[in-house]
Amino acid sequence: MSWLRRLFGHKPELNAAQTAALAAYRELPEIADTVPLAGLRFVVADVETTGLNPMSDKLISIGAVMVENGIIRLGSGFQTVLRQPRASASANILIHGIDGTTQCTGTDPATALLEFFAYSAKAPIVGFHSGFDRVMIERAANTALGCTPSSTWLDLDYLAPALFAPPKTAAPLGLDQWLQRFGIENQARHNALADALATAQLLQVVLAQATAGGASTLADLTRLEQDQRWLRQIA
Amino acid sequence: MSSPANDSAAAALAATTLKFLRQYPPFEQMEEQAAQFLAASLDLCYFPKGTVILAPDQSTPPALHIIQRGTVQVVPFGAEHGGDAEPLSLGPGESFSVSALLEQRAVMAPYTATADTFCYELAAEKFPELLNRSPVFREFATRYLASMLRESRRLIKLNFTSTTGEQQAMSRTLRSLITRAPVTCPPERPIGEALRSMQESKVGSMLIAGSDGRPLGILTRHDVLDRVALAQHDLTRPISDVMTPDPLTLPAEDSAYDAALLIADRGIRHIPVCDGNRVIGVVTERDLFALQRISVRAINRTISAAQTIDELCSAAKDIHKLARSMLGQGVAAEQLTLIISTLNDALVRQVLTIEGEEFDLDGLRWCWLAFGSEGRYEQTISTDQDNGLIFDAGDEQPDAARERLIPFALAVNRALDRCGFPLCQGNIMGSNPQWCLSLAEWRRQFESWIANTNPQALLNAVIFFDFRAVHGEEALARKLRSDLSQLAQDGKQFQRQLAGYALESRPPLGIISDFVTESDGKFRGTIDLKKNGARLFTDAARLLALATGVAHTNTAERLRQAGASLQIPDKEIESITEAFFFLQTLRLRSQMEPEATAENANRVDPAQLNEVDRRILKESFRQARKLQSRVALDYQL
Repeated sequence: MSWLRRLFGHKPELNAAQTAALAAYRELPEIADTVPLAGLRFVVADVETTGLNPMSDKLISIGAVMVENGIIRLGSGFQTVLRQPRASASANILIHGIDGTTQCTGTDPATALLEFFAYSAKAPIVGFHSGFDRVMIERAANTALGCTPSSTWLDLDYLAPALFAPPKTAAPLGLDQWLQRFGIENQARHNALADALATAQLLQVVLAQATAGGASTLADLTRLEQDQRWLRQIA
Repeated sequence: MSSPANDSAAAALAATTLKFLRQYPPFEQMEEQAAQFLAASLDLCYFPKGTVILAPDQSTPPALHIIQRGTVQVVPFGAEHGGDAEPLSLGPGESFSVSALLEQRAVMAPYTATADTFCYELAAEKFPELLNRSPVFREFATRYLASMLRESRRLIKLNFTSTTGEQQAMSRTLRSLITRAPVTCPPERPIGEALRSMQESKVGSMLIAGSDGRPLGILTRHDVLDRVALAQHDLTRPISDVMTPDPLTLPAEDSAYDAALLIADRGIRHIPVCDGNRVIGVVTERDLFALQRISVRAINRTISAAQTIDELCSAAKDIHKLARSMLGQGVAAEQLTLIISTLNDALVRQVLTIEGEEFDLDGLRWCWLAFGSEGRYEQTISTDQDNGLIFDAGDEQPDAARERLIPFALAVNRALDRCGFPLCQGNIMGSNPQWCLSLAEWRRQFESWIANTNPQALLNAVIFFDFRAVHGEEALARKLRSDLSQLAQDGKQFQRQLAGYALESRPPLGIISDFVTESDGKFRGTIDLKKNGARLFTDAARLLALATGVAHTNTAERLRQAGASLQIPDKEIESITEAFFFLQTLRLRSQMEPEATAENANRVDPAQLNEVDRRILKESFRQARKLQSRVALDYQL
């Protein structure tokens, strides 16, 4: 079969169940930009990785919670640890707390990512510094599945200051500072799920403010984010 | 969509939630399984500062809220009306509104986020399951119950004001208030003729209208006094001489409230209502008054001023309306039944006065007696007549006096029937020669009951032991009472019999289910609150009162006074009377249901009650059981 692989590039091999899961995902309707925010489902995701280099480090785990109608559905969370060929460096283990054994006994990456695909179901994916999460998830997905999630990505790093102006001179606030500002407690920083939960609470605050300010569709949010990106670039 | 990835996340999130909950009561004490169920069932919501999270105009809260972070404020009920209650601030770990969810009703005051607030939410449909799973939480929720007996009254108030709301009534259009075409005449009509047609059509005012129906003037009964009668105005002159020209009018689509304002503002009593230029009716102060709460004083005045039985009939209807509105205002059953009884007494007295004028009763000293619930000052809405007469014939033979009194009593019984107090099925009425007796005869009657020659006769006669004077020579009734008191205290066998009677009916508490209800028939699933509820208290109270020489006939008073001489702790008596009044309140409520009939008026389906009322009902029956076991113990039954 190596000639086939060479012919189609390195197309990953999926078993029947995985192929079916991917097909099912593709069948899901895309979420249009014009969908009203009320009733929209957001997936707030956070990843843990072997390091901070988006091009070379590896995705270790994904944690996510669902925000629907502005409500965090605590009963419908998501967390997975992707099986690694070898454990990450011990300094890194100290950060995310996923030990070597867990890393090596995690879920098969293709299955883990397909589960995440099914979970997100093309809903907008939100994170803080979600650009990083996006690259990590897309790279891993490309390797394991040969495709990437078809979701709109939203970054609270831009959305939060767009709605709650920080002091003009200050550098952009980090996640911890935002959480502190709104009194959101993070039970376990650097645990993907706990981070996702705290980030989801930040999203609740942002959504309430955006809605109060007149935002009514997903497109309104992406526009807010883009404007803030542009502002930060010219600053 | 359940995969290991979902399950492990849900478990992890629930663990985080649980860790939070465990810091606060009652969750810190909550049974592990229940707490895990709770933690796994929660959502997390966000309310920016200023959000009204729950409001009284909504229905039952959609969820139980447990504050995770932030502050929620609630202004206690009544505080907005100048009460001194401070607004209540709720912080992390506190939940709201347990009582609204228990009672399945809207909150009584808004819950507002006074800081950016995160709340865990347990969907309302899972709330009963939490109660079921956790005795600790149940206990926590039940602690509200103590204050809820009081609260329950307020609830009734809310329910009733929403259906009979004054405000709602006052927003009705004037058109909807007009019940008859206006009585009008042309301006040239002679005064005398106009006054005659006012009298014939029984209206308080004459409208003077043009041929096009436009109101030109008005003349009220009040005006007649000084403009016509005192001024000795020529009655053949046209009415335009004495009318108030160009009266103030209101358009038909204005509200009752507008009319009330105008009346208050200008001090006028009659307002012509116009559709375009045409007058279509007159709204009077009286019409508006009827919309508002009928006051006790006003009814009392109407009753004592009544000259005919017809007028009393309408007053009797007002008593009914008043009872409804007072129940709506949250007046406690004790006061409410007392007020109803007092007004009914006034009505009976007026009936006796009106009818008394038709009969020659000279030289007779008599007193009208009330028995049963009326005798106990516990009249609810649908009550049959239970009355009798006691007289002092003086030199006359009792039979001769009776012969004079009975036609009078018959007229009174019939008049009362017309006023909405149905004739007694058992013929316990003053017009029955058997219950129209001289003092000596009554005494003998009670003696024979107490001497117990016929146990069944005694049991049929218990309501007589609740007699009291309503009108007439009250000294006769007092003398009878003191004689009876002595007889009853000495009659040990009689007391034992009454005790047996008091234990005949048992509280409908089940061993497996909460309540024992009718198992079939058309009242399947219901409890008779009279026979299996209130009666348990009245029977026991009667026995205790008679045994201790308490003259009062009111159940609560009997319990209090007898309780004092039996050295039952006040607290215990208070719980018992509270329980009795709760049953009375439920009866009143059920009697005021639109679909209430004579048959179902005392029936309640426990399944239809909200959680609070159901619990209080259960507790009330427990109190009845307690009272009964005391009787059983005292008389070794």
